Amino acid sequence: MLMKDVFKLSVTLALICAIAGAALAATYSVTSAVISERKQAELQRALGELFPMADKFEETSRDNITYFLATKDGKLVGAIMQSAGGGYAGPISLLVAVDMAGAVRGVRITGQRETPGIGDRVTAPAFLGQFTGKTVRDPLAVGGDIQAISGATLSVRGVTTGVRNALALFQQHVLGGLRLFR
Amino acid sequence: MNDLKVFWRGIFDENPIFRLLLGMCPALAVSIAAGHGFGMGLAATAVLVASNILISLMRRVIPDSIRIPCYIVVIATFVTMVDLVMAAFVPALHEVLGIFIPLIVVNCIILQRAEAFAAKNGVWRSTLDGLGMGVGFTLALVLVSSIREILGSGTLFGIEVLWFWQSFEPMRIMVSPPGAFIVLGLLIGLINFLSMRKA
Repeated sequence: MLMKDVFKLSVTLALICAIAGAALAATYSVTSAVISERKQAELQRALGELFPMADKFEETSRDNITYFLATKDGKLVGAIMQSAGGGYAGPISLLVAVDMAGAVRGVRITGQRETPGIGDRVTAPAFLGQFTGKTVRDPLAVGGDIQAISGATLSVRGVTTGVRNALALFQQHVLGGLRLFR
Repeated sequence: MNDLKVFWRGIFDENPIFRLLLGMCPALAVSIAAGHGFGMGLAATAVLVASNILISLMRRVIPDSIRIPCYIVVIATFVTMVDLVMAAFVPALHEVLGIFIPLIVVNCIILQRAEAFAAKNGVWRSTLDGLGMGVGFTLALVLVSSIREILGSGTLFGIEVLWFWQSFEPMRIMVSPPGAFIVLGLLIGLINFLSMRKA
C-alpha cells in the first residue's frame, strides 16, 4: 500500500470519527441536564414513597456512607439509609427508611441480580413488608421473625443482612451524630 | 427484486433469527419476558433503519478498505445517541429497555445489513430493508419470549394467562439461559421442517 493511500484512509476515518464525536457531544450537551434533573426528581419521588410522612430529603455523605435525612416542616423525622447485603448473585442494594424511634418504615430494593423467578421474589412487597416496625433490638433472624422463601435462602439472608446493616448505620451515624451535637 | 420483496423477505425468507441466525446473543439473553423481547426488537429496528439510511447515504464517501470501522463508528454513535435521547425524553421506555440498548451495538444484524445491503443500494431500498429486517427480528423475539414467559412465569406481557390451569407450576428452566436455547432450537427446527415440506 502506498504511503499516500495510508494517509488518505487515516484522514477519512479520523474525519468520520470527528463528526461522530461532535454529534455525540451535541446530543450529550442537550440531554445531560434533562437526565440529571429527571434522576434527581425520581430519587426524591422514590424517597417520598418510602417515607410518606416526610416532606424533604437531604443527601448526607460521611465516611463513604450515604443517607438521606428526612425532615417534615424542618423537623428531623428519620432517615433513609443506603445499604447492601450479599445475595446469591452479588450484592443486593437497598434503601431502608428508619424513623426516629429506630424502627423500619419501609424497604426498597434498588439493585439486584438474583435468579429470575427464584431469588428475585425477595423484591415482592409481601416479603419486604415483614421488615416494617423492626428495630435494631429485633433479632432479624431468617426462619425466626423473618419468614424465609423456599429456594431463595441466600437472597433472603442478603436482604436481611442489608436491613440489619442499615439499622446499625442509623444508630451509629444518625442517632450517634445527634448525641454529639447535644 | 421489487420494493415489496425487499421489505417482506426480512420477515420470512431471510428472517434474521430463524433463517440467517444473526443476532442470537440478544435473542437468547433478553427473551425472558414478551415485553422485553418486544422492546429490544423496537430499539434494534430504530437503530437498524437509521444506520441503513446513513450508510446508504455515505456509500460513495466511505473507502472500501476501511468500511467496517466506519460502519462500527456510525452504528455505535447512533446507538449512544438513541440511548441518551431516550433517557432524557422518554424515561419510561428507557427504564424498561435500559440494559438492552447498549447491547444493540454488538447486534450483528445491523452490521450485516450495512455490509450486505445498505452499502450497495439506494436510500429508499435500504430503509425498506432495515424495516423488514427489524420487524422480522421483533416478531421472532416476541415469539421466543412469549413461549418462555408463558411456560416460565405463567404470564404474557405481564398478564396472567394460565388462570384456567390452577395446578400449573412455572417451569423455571424456561426463564433461565438453558430455556432460551431449548425454545430457540425447537423453533428453528420446526421452521426448517415446515419450509422443507413446502419446497
